[in-house]
Amino acid sequence: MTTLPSLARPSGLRFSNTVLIVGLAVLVVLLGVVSIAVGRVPLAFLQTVQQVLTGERTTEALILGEIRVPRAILAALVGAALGGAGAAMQGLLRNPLAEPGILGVSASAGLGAVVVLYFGLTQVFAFALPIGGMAGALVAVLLTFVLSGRDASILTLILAGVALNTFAAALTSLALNLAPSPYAALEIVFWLLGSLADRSFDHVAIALPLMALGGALFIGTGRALNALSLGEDVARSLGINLRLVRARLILGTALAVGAAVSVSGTIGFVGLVVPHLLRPLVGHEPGRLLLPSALGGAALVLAADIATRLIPVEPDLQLGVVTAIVGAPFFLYLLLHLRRTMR
Amino acid sequence: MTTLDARNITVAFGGTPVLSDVAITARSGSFVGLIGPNGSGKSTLLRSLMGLQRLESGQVSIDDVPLADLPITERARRLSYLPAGTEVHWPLLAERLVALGRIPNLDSWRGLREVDFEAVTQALNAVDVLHLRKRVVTTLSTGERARVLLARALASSPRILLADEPVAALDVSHQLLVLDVIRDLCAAGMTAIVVFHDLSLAARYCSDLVLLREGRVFAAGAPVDVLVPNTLRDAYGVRAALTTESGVPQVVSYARVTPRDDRHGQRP
Repeated sequence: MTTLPSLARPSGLRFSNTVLIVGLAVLVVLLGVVSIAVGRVPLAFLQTVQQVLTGERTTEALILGEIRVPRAILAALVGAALGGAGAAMQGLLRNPLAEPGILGVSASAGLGAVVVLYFGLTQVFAFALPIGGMAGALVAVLLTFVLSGRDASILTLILAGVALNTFAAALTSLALNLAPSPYAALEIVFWLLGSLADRSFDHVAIALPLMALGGALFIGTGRALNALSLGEDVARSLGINLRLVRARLILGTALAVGAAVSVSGTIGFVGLVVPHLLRPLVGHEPGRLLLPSALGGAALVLAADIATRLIPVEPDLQLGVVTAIVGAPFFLYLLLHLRRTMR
Repeated sequence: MTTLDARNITVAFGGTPVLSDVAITARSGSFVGLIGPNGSGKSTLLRSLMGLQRLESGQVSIDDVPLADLPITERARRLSYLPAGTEVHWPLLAERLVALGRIPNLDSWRGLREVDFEAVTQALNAVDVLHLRKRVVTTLSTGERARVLLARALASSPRILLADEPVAALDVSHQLLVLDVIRDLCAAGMTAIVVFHDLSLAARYCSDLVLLREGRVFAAGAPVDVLVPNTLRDAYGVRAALTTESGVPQVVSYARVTPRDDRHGQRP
């Protein structure tokens, strides 16, 4: 009788998941502090923080408490939504090129907001924009379920997403085409570029509950995502209720990404790059990637938003422009680096 | 005693019948070989037995409990399913992939425990891939990956193993090793239903054979009763016979049967 060597615990990776998660969380907090400290108006940081905490209503305290703090919170929330949803979609579709908008949620949320801008509803009602965006995202997810049926294959889901993305882009172009004035067209274009400038705690109040609900739907799907590495048949044979998991991931993505687009416009590449970057650190297991990816997304958007304020150009750089300009070449580098292991 | 019993299994893809009125019974300890020409419905039958296939009619039951009445997690604890092919979607470590096979045995919110690590190690060792456990599966050869995937299917300690061509990609030595493992597990009470293309291996290892042809059970029973020249000619269109070489059963195929040979009813 030979005794078998027992299995080394977390698979011989250099980082355990806990170290990675704590490390990313610390990074998010540090970037959050930098984000609050940095801006066009120079502030005596510690002194101003003290003023905010004691409730003194100086100009500096207002800038910090009413503008920079919600901006930093929104950056972290939007990044977490995009990063987490990106990891969820890549896991569900078993495709490293999937991103949060692949099923049409981002484009439809963007369209919802564009419709609001086009009809000038922002003048009528301050929060028409985020509400329009959310409505767009939810219509998209309903259409996805209707188009792809109850037992949707991955291919059907992706094709339904292509159709929705194309249609939303077409209607957005139509809105630009028919825009009543160049100024209205410019407003739409700039909004679509994505930004976190001039947001308030009201935006946080809109986005946070929806994102929390979306995130809650992701909880407990990790095991199913791991099982899906072996294909849908094997996942089902392992006792995974695929229909339920699919519905939870799609609805969760719609809520989180819809809320993100509603308050910030479309911010590209975060949901694509962050899961790629972190995947090797969790042994490529899609289920273990969700939380690190959300934290990594938060860190990346915070950093990009800091960059928009530090790069001195006029007019200000839009956040979505920065993430895309940095993200696209970086993604190419990752592809070259990863293609050996990814077949 | 676990008995898998399937009755009247009928499956159609877009109006084309794939399985018609198929019945199959496998008792605890039996090693059933599913054989038949390409397109005869072997893989579809295996998927039907796992409950993955929508049936036009028919019913699969385990110990007289219909599969449809078993919660999906209960099914997963009893049956293990290994599809054909060796596709893995992410570059996972071999041992982490095999650990996925323990999902049916895990509590809802608990991770892997000592008993799971032990089961994974044993499964890896049983099919001779323990030395590959720290390797990334996408960098393994097809045969190595096939064995890692089989280890995944065995890791849950299933009562019924449904395997689709588990030895197709393996070298001779590992074919025998893997089939020895399955036979030993059957001797200990497991039921195996395995798709074979190699009739000699099927004759050698299986206690029972089910021969499918055009979606129907064409012959069923002990290998010596199924692998007779007339049946092989009618099912596969070959002149072939079951012989014995050094005490090991062999199916030797001599030639394809041309229509003229068929008319004259030639025998090998």
